[in-house]
Amino acid sequence: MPIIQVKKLKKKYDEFEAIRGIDFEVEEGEVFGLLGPNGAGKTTTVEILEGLIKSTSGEAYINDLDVSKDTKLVKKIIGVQLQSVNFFEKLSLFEIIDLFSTLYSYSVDPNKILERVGLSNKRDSYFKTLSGGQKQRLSIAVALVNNPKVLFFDEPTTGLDPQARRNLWELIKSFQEEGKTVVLTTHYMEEAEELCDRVAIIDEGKIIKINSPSNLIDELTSSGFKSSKKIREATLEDVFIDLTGKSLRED
Amino acid sequence: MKIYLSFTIAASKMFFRRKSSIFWSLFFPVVTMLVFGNANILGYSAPNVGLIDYANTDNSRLITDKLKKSKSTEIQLIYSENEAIELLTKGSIASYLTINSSNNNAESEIIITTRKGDFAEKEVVSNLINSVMIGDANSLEELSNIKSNIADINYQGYKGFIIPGIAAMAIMQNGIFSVVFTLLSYKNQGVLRRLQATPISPSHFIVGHLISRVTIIILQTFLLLIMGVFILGVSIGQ
Repeated sequence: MPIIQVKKLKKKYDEFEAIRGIDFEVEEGEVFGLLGPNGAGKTTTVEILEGLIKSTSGEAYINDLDVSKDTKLVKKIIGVQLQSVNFFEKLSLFEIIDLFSTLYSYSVDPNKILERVGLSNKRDSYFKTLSGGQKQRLSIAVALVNNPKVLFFDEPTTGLDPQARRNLWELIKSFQEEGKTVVLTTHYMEEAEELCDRVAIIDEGKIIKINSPSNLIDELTSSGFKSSKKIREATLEDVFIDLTGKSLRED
Repeated sequence: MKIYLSFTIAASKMFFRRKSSIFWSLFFPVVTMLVFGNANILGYSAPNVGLIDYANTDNSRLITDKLKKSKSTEIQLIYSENEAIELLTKGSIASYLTINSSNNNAESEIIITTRKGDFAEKEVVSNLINSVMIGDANSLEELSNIKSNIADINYQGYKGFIIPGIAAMAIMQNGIFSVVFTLLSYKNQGVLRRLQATPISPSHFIVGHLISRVTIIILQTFLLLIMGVFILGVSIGQ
């Protein structure tokens, strides 16, 4: 029984059709990637599933709950990290986590959650003093306050340095190990390859292909595709990480 | 219920952590009030003087006419003590004169009634009467007895306007800046969008925010009134 079911989902803004009939299913415990260029409809799809916007037509279910009708119940079992991260500027991280756990009527120890995302040393700092990577990690921490079944991450690593990105990858992998379902949008292909069990490639509001990253690569190479670039043993990013180290810089 | 409370506490904490909000809603109105309350912005203007002519003799009418011609006051004829007190309380006259006749062997007299603390007004009016008398001493002999009287009215004058005025201004300013602007900035920053992704309804956030702001506004008004009473010396609730 898939935990997320999306059937013929459409969203129209006046004249513009952001998504034009999307179907996919996500199994429990899967990390599912939505890939696509800017404006392809990734964020729209995710925001419909999060209950932030209403679809024009089609159906979407999370854990058998209709997203458009049982929006509140759906919101209780999902954790959300939005593309543009912002919280109350003049609250400390501890207070933000505490406030959000109250909103879910869920009692958690904010210290434990902050420790999980590596922000325990910042518990008394205000949100506005954080660096980009730290803001993303706080955003993920807030997504965890209700111990959600499904996590939505919308471009979590955009604009982060390689160290911070790798750090987030480890975090997302740890959620999968716990058995949580993760829906991730990104336009970094190496990120999708590293994290996702399956990916859906979206363009112009439609899903072109759904499969596991390795199957998609095999499919392409078996059709006779030859990369114009020489495949090397390492990438420039490997060089960068090797030279600058894996540890996070902002703490 | 707990959600409302959490928002109220969070909104209040954020308010007091922002230096600009403390400055504009607490410090600024208090200073404005003290500065304007102590400066006599209205300056000196010819006092309006009420006149009750109980005697109604040739002499009293002569005095009335002379006073009316004087440029240093504005004379307003009044026909009863109650009306005079009422006008004095409202502040539309600064003092009033009562001319009593010499019936029943009582000496004829002019009584100047002023409010508590209005020494300048009393001085001005008695000087005026003296100058009128000197000009025509003979015919006014019988009215030479001038007395003064202080009515039990604590008139607050300009300060009585400035304090409620500044308090009202501060409440409106807080209503506009600290409620509307804060909500707008939350919307622009995307904070409201993040809250929308949680299972609460917008009313939780709005009500929590409002409770916090109303409490702050009450606090602010109390602060202004306390300053008004202890520093500017106005009295409240009469």
